[in-house]
Amino acid sequence: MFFGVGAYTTAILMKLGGWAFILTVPLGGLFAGILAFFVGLPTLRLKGSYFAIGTWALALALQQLALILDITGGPDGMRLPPYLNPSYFYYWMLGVVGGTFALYWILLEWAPFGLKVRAIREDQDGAMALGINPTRVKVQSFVLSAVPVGLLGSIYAYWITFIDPLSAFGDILTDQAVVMAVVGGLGTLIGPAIGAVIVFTFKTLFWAYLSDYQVLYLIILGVAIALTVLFLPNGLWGTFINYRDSSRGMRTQSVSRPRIDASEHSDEQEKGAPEHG
Amino acid sequence: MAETILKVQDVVKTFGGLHAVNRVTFDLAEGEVMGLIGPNGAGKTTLFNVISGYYPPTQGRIHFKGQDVSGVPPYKLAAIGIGRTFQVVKPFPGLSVLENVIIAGLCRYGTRRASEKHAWKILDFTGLADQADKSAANLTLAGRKRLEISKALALEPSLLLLDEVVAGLNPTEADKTIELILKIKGFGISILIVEHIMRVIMNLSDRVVVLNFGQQIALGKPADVARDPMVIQAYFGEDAA
Ligand SMILES: Nc1ncnc2c1ncn2[C@@H]1O[C@H](COP(=O)(O)OP(=O)(O)OP(=O)(O)O)[C@@H](O)[C@H]1O
Ligand SMILES: [Mg+2]
Repeated sequence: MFFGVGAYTTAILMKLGGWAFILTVPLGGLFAGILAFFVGLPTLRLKGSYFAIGTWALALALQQLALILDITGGPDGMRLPPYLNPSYFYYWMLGVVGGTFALYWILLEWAPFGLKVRAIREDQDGAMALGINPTRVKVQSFVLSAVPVGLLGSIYAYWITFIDPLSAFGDILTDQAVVMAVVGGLGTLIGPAIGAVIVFTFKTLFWAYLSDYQVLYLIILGVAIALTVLFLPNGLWGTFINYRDSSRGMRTQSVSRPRIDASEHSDEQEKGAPEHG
Repeated sequence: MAETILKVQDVVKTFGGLHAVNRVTFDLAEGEVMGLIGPNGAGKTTLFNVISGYYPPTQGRIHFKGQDVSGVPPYKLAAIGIGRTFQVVKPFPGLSVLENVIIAGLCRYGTRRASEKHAWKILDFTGLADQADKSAANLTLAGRKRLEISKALALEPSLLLLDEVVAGLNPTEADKTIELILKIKGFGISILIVEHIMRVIMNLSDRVVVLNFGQQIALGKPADVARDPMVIQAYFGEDAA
């Protein structure tokens, strides 16, 4: 959804407003952020799945809007003047991704914000008793996650030089992003990056060898999510971290406490399992 | 006479048809320790949840430091000085003990660094400093209850609501916690404390409120309340019959 907002911001401003690309990118991020704020404020107050349903419905509504409006070119989409310089876009993307990663790292690992987010994730009622306003922190997180996506949408539009409602607001992009995050490990900075490498590798191989069976693509992604949620709820990276921490914990504990035999058995099991399976 | 810090006026909280708290009225003076007792299901925790903003009162008003705070959300009350613990403890299990307390200090101290300094002081005070790096999930029950108190204290509250922080502890641990509460009282912090163990209530409280089926059946000095026929009836009525 925010990707599409960024993409259409750049396309409309460049094409109809004659703006320079460079100026449209920040606006793509800004509009994505503003939209996230106004979507998040009412839906993030509610518990459960309202937020997910609300954002999903809004994405569809925006897609429909892009289909019927004149300034978006309707179903024909929008074509931008081509700028054939792949490395130009590569550096833009790298800059945005790198900047985002650095910003998130500072906010989550260093600033109070990260602790507040974790507190809410662990126990929302407990967090409220300590002066944390969950809705506010959630809206802030939502806006923070929307802005880079808007920026990337802007860059994407000029890079590919063509956008239409399907490519800008379609599900496939979001679906893939969800798989990346879940498989890699939610709530970590590294996890989704690992997930992205895996999904992208899979995608490349898939289109190379199985392009006749397109329908399989989404099915495999769906199965990947289901299996991860069932067997590795913390994702690959999260599972690795837990495993590392718990084996560390055992070592430090064994100094002061008698070693518990059960821990050795579980070690063996974890090592043995892959061979049998 | 000390100023009134908390005024509970005719407070009612219903769940559907159930009057969990039914017309409760009392004042708490600054620095006072008030015991809140009553049989299981009497409405003590519900009253805590109303005072700390988790439920708006169905009826009645709550004033804190002279300000009407009925229906004000918990995070605002925490910021203006109401700290609370949870009967069913709510640690952030995936975080360390220290991080748990740092989070509590953020609303007073702003930065992680300042809040961490403060958190160490709190942990020294509550005797959890040697477990600071432990994951909160790995604490014993006594440790988790102590962590609840530590987090509430890190807010630097002027009113502290303690919901069964002694229950379930062995006698040695219980004595340590009672000692801790007395020290907190020594700082002049007003305390409202729920506890089933009479010894604790008698030791700590200046006055006691008794609830039964949501209703306030007695209010007064611990010794007087303990002799009150209504209270005896509420606690032992069924056995006597
Ligand atoms: N969220 C809720 N929804 C419906 N009923 C509730 C809710 N919370 C509490 N109750 C009911 O309100 C009454 C009072 O419960 P409460 O937990 O306040 O009692 P309590 O005095 O704290 O008891 P205990 O000593 O067992 O902790 C009980 O009958 C309980 O079942
Ligand atoms: Mg209770």
